[in-house]
Amino acid sequence: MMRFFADESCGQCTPCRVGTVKAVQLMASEKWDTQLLEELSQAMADASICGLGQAAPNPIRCVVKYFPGELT
Amino acid sequence: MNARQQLALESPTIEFNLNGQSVVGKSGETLLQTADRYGIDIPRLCYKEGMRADGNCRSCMVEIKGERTLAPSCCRFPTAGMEVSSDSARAVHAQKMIIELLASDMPEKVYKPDSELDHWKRKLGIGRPRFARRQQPVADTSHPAMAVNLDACIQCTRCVRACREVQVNDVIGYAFRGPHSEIVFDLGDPMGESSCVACGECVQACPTGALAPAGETYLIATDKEVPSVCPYCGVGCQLTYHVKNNHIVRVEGRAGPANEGRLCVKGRFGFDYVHHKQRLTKPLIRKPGRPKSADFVMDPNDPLSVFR
Repeated sequence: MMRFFADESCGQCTPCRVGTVKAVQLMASEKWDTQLLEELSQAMADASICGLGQAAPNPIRCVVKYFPGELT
Repeated sequence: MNARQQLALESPTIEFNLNGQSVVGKSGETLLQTADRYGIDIPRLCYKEGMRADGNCRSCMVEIKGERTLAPSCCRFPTAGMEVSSDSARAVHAQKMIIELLASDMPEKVYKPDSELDHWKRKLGIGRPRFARRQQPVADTSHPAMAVNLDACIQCTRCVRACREVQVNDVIGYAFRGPHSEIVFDLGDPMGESSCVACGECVQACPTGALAPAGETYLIATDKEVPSVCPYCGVGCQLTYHVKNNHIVRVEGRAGPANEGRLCVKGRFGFDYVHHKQRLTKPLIRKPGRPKSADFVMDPNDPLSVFR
C-alpha cells in the first residue's frame, strides 16, 4: 500500500516525495522501527501539501495501532 | 525610494501573534518575511528572496491555531489576530524531519561548503540522518561552465524558477513524478547540448551546489571578495569577484539597481581574459617602418614585434 502511495506521489513536496519512499524502506525491514515510523508519519501528515501525502502514513499508523502483534 | 517601497510604507498593516509575541505584518508580507523582520529564524530552502515563493520544500512549516495541518510560512499571509507559532513542538518536529529527509539523500561528497541545507541541519541540531540514501543519478559534466550533480539535488525548484521566471529562458524543467522527479534541461538533454544560454542564474539559485560552477570552484577557499561592476556592456550589473592569489575564482551577482543580483554569461563566466597573455595592459606605439595596411596580420602573442 505504501508502494502505491510512493508511486502516486507527484513529487512536488518533500514529505510526500521522500517520505513515502523512506517509509517503504522502513516497512520492508524485518523489525519495524515504530518510533521512527511514527515521527515520519507525523511530519508527513502535518507538512504535506495535499491529502495524498497527509493520508499516506495512515496504513502505518493502523498497523501499529490495531495489529501490533503482527510486528513482533 | 522606488514606487514599490513607497507603496509598502503607505499600505495598511495587520496585527497578529507570532510565537507569543504581538507583531505587525506589512501588507503583502508573508509570515516568513514578518518573522525575518522580527529576528525570528525559520528554516527555508525552496524560498529565496526576490523569487516567487513556491512552498514545496516544507521546511518553513508553522503552526496556526485552529488549522488542521501546518502551513508553509513562505507563502502564507497573515490575517488579523492569527496565532502563529514556528517554535511549537509540532512545527519544529516537521521542520526537523523535512531537513533530515532531504539530508538523508545527500552524497558524501561536498559540492558547496556550508550549503543552505548544511546550515539548517546544523542550526536545528540534526545529526546523521536515520534513513537510507536514495539511488543516486549520474553527474552531467557536458557543460563547459557548469557542473550538474543531481545527487545533491533537493528538488526545491529554485533553478527552475530562476531559469523560467527570473531569466525567462525556460530551459530547466521539472520532469517525471514522485521519487523519480528530477531537474531536466529541455527534453532531458545533457546541459551542454541543451538550449541553455549559460547565464548561470540556476547556479546562483541552487542551495546545495547540485548546480555549481565547473571546476569545483566552490571548494576553493578565496582570500577576498571584491565588489565590482561587470566590465562588458553598459547595463552596469553589479557583481562580486571571489579572488584567490589575485586570480578571479568565481563571480557572483550582487544586488544592484540594474541587475538585482542577476548576471549573464559574460559577467558570470567570462573572466579568463583578465590574465590572458594576449591582453594589452598598457598603451603601445607602433614601431617605425611597420606596415599600416588593413590586411596585415600580427601575431597576437607577440605584439612587441610591431609595437614598442
